[in-house]
Amino acid sequence: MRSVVFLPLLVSMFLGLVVVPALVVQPAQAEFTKGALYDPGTLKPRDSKLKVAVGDPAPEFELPSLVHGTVRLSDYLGKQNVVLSFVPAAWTPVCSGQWPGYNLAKRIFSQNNTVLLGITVDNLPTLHAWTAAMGDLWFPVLSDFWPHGEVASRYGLLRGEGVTERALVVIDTKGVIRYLDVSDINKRPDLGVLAKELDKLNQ
Amino acid sequence: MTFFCRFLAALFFVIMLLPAVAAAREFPDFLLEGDIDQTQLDSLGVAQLPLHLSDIKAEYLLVEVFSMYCPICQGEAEHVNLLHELILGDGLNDRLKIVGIGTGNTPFEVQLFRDQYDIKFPLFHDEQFEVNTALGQVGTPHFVLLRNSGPDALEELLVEEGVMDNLDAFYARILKAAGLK
Repeated sequence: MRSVVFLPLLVSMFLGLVVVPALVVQPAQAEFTKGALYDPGTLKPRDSKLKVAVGDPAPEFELPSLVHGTVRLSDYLGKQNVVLSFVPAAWTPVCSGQWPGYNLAKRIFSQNNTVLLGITVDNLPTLHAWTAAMGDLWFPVLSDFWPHGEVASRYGLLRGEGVTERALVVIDTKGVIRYLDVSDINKRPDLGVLAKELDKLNQ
Repeated sequence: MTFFCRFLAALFFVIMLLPAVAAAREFPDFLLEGDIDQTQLDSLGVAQLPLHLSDIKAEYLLVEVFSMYCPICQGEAEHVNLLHELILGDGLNDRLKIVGIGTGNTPFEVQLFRDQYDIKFPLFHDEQFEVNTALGQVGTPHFVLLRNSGPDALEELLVEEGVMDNLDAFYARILKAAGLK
């Protein structure tokens, strides 16, 4: 008889205090929760050969962007310095941290009269979903999806597996490359180094 | 049936006791570096850097492992500032102090985060991910409430990760875990 009384009570306590809380999902403010990103593991640090060098005129390009229409490098000629931030792939761990950091660093770019252009070989729908998870990015995000990686290839930044290197290209208002950094693809480049290079543009 | 009842009761109590056992975990007494000004050093009760967590003159420490590159940490920064203000407003700052550790962040990147959100509590940098690696590569933000009983005697009282469900509720959990209210 006592078992009959206590069993439902124990089952209720078990379900209410142990099982249900474990099933409750915490509300997410950003989408980069555990499991949202694909980890490709450790990759060959570099897998391409640069086709440009500091002092060269930056190759012109025209790419579709998420919210800024078609973007041409020449749009900024004579007006603003440009930083091209090539990142390998959407929804991967290092890339998914790099641009949110740049989002916070808007002042560093604007105080040096510099626009940042983010570029990947992902298509626009993928970039839309990915950048939405980062919050609102202040800089244009460009898709070098088709012809696949053509712009990255023009700069010598397309890797064998079809993604870009993790690279920064600083271009001055005359369209000349002033700084090039092809990082180890597995690591985020030091923002402080880029900030110093942007300061040099005004010297 | 009686056996099943006893089994269920035993299972229930074991599971309910597990978090209490887990909360007694020791926490590494990390050596920390950061661009900390004299006012903040004074507020921590330490004379110089680098410092061990246990050097901080407070009975309880709330450690936030964050990254300047983490969008959730960016979104939570203002809430953590408010939490700091709540602690100050309640006159608990001598007993409970917040410190942030920017994992994978350079001093420049931590300073950018500090400036962007006007953060008043001390922020340290963990440029080579040493803290994060020692903690088992935690996600950010990662909050740990510690009881500070001196060198190499830091005891985890509460561990939470990700977005705060509610600032007041989070603060209440901290105070309860520390026995401050």
